[in-house]
Amino acid sequence: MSSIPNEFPISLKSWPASKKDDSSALPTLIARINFERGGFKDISEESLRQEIAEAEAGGEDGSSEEEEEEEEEPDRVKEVMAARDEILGQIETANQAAGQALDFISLLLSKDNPVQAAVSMSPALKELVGTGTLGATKLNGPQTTPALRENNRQVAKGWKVQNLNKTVDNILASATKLEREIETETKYWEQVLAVSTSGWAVCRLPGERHTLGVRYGFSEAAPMFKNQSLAALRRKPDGSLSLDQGIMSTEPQALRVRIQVDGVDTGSSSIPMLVAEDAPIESLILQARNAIFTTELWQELNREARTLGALNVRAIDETLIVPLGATERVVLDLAPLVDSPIISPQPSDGIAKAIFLALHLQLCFAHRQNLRRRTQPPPPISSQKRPNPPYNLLRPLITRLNHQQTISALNSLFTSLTTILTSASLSPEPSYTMTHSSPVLPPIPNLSQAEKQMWGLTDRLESILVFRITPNTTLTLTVKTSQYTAAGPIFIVSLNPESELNRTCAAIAYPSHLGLVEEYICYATSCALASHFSSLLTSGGLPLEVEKDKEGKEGWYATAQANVLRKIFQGGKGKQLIFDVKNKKSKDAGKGKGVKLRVGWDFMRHENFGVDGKRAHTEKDRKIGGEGVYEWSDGSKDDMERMWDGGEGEVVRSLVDVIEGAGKWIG
Amino acid sequence: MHELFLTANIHNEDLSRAVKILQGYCGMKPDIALCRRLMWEGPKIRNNLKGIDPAFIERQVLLKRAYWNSLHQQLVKQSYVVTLIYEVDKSDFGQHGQSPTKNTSVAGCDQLPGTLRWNEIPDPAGNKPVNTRAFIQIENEKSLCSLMQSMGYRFARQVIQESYRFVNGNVIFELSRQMQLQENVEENKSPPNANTPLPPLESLGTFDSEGKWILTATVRVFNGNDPEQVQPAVGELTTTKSEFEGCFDFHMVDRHILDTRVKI
Repeated sequence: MSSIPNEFPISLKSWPASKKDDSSALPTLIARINFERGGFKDISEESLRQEIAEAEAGGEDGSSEEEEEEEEEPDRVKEVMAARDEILGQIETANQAAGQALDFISLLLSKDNPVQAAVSMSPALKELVGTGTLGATKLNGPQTTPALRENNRQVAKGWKVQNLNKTVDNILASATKLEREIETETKYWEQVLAVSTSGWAVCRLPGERHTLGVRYGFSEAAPMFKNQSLAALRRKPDGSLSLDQGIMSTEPQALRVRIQVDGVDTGSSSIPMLVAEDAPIESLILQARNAIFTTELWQELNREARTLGALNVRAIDETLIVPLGATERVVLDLAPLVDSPIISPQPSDGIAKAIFLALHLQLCFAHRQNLRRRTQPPPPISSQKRPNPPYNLLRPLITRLNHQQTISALNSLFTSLTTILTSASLSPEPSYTMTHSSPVLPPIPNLSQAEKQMWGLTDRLESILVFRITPNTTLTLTVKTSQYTAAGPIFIVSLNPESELNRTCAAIAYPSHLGLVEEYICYATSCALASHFSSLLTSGGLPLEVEKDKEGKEGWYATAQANVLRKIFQGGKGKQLIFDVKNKKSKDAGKGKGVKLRVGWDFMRHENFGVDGKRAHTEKDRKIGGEGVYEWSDGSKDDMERMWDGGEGEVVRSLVDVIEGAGKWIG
Repeated sequence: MHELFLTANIHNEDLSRAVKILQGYCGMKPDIALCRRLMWEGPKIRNNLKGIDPAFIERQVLLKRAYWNSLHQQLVKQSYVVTLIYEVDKSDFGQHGQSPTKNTSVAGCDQLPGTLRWNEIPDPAGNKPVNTRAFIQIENEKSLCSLMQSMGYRFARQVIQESYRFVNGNVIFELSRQMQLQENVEENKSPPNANTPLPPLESLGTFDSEGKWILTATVRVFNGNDPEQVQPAVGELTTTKSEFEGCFDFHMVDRHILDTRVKI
């Protein structure tokens, strides 16, 4: 009400003034009585007095605590209700005041703008007073002096100048900022272009379509790695590029291959250096690519290792252990990139590096096979799940190493035998050849040279060794090592069909392990030698007796034991000659190692080979002449044990001589 | 086997753009192939269809015998148009100067390995948003022409098809166009042999005047009646269709366009 000045001549009724709790006001009382007692019908003066008397009496009897307790709560409730009523009342008042002000202004406006005013005027007022009934006029003119006007003008000018200056400053500032932006932006684009021209694939990030990213992963990797292989190229404040790998920016690691003998490192592959933060962006991208390649390689190696238990590959802690022979083993693990590599060369570094490279190549080859598989029309969708076998990374390596070990063991055996037999002047000289079968390339069109190389190194590991011992006997050994069996190499041994050994010393067609093969080879050699020097002299099925003055090398005939020859002298005395080829493998490189050919001869002391049964020859055990042993070996001269009767010189004797000597009758 | 497919049309001017898009989408270079398709029509009779000689089926490799058997069952019920496909090389075209040994016998084609392809008419629309049809494809077979003749089929016509093939997951995209040889009417009726020189590639005309290419997206399913196999196939095709929205318009075709039954 204070907003309307008092001298204003209006005839509006003022609002009911106070909201004091006037409980004695008649209308309120009547309303209350009606509410409480339902009208005045039942009320008389006497009944009211009675009620009062009762209430006073009953109130005193009741416990005061009850009253107190109850009073507290009702008091609280009453307080809340009172507050609520007050608020409502004040809101009502405010509403009324606002409504009144609106009406007043509308009425004032209704003279000049009746349409608009009619909208905002309340209908009650319209009825009461009508539109257009209030007017207003100016009482006094504007009280501005020229001084005041001049002042205003100055102020306005000042403001204008100030704002113009501000605008100019703003524009200058934006201009410099824009120039800097252009510079940094140009730098950014130059660098991005450089990245793109050096071969990396630059594309938009699928999440933030206004940011460029570089794809540094491999398109044939497993889906898990392909998803991680995108990094954003962000602009640093000075305009240079930074590579943002998002969540995957862990420390880059590299695969480390170590060769260990009895737990001690004897070789290690080198670990690349960590690229500095401010290095050119291409080297950072390259490092990221190598890191994701290593992560994938490690994952696939572990996945494959779970299937290679039969080949003794073990996963212990965070490393993979691959046995590499009797004592050596390969240890694979991940190592973080170092700032300054410590290079101290070790003996088996070469092997470690080779294995490192081979594993990386195998993964690339697996990627290539993935590509071939996915670009061919797929098999139709069927109810069978398509298998997802692990890549062949370690398996071909282990197979090839096993094959090489087998071949080198056999090679050394055969060369030793050939050397010994040559030194024993066996004629014609024995010979030995080894050929490796060429790989069979798969019937895939457009095989690149690299793929052919990989197939060649891992597929069809087969070697054929041919050992010609004597003109009659040739031993052929085929060694096949397959990736897909843990049983080791397959050996196929055969003799040429014309050889006598087929009857006396037949080959074990499929020996199960290398030891057996080597034993057979040695035995076959001794049998071949025996059969070479034997001759058949029979008369009526019984061997002939040889005169004692005949040549030593005549008269030896084959027996049931293929490496033993026997000779019977006239008079019934028999002598036997044993060929023995041994391959001793002992750990200490001292006496007794290597391949040895030993020829021993002695008299058959307890047999009578003669026609005359009475002339059995029994001798006490004493050394008799005409017996001995001779050995050829490929070891050092110290190994040669010679128990030669006559104590002759150190010259290596020929086999023929020895047999000649053995066959003489000295008795 | 069944194949589910959708088709789109590509204009000749848009060919290189389409190839580039598909190359990027599938992440591979296209397999470009050129082949001769020989259409052989079955006899115009309703009953007593001979089908394939059972002795022939017995002689086949065990792996393929099932296919031959199912083909025989289809051919005995109804006369179809069967296609034989032979791969050719660009160098086989336009060798006019070479001495063709003019034997128009069947033996020529028989020496080459070819593929036999039989398609059923696509299934009626149903509730699937893709075309579905049964098919049998037997690859790397010789003496197919004499087999056709022994069944009483007769050579109808020959077309040359050039195609670009891409693979993405289970979906095979094939962008192909068929061209016809300008042949005389008389030669039309006898089956071609491998020795007849093919005219130069440029002289071949396309079937429709604009030289439009057809792009099909196909998914193959082993058993078309098994919803567990068909569902993922339909899913893949609809995904492909929505991904190429605005670029290629993959749609179903009316089944009667691809009807291979011989009208009697």
